[in-house]
Amino acid sequence: MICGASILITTALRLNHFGAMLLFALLVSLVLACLTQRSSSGGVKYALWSFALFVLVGVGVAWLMYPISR
Amino acid sequence: MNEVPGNEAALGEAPANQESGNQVACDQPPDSNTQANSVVGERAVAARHSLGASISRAALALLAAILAWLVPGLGHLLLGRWGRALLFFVAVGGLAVTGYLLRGNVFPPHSGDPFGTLGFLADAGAGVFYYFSRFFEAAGPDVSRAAGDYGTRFVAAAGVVNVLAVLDVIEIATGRRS
Repeated sequence: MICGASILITTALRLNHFGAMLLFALLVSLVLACLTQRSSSGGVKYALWSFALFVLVGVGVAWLMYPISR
Repeated sequence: MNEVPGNEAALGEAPANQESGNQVACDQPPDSNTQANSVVGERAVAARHSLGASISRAALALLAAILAWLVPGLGHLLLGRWGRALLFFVAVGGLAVTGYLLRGNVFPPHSGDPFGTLGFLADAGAGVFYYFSRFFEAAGPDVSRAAGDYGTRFVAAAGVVNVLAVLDVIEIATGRRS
């Protein structure tokens, strides 16, 4: 039953590379903001800033690696 | 230079105070020893209480850390931090399950390879989610695709995030973090 559910979730999820990166950036940013910031407003700002940096650096590194990908 | 009034006063008063202090010491009533003993006793009791409190706090921190490692968020739940508990459960669970669904590599305990051991330590940090891999990843890992390689990173990140959560629990339980 669990295997069937995992297959269903996998099919429904259908993460491409960019989607996987967004999910990773979102979850890790939330955790880092929760661990490092004490106030909720500071935490939200930190999470947004961290998420943006994750995505920007990820896309930047992907473009840098594009010439050697083929 | 020696005519400073403050200095004279200080120099002049010091012997008087010493004398009066000695006089007071000599004129102490006979039950002063009892009072001193009671003060020492109270201090000992207070020290014993603080030792007991620190031991119970350390025991609570150890219990919360073990629970936080076993089930992400459970340590925070024990300390009454509902928001953090939910966040860590969702984050660690989301990273681990997504990693399994992407068919990432899950490192076994005895790989015989230093990098494999490091990978196992990172993966095992996710606690009970490490053992869920056999249910979610029944077909085994597939790192021949890029998605499978991403999955390996997701699973490792889940364990590392949970280790950070365990450290946070210890800091909260020992009072080092408000």
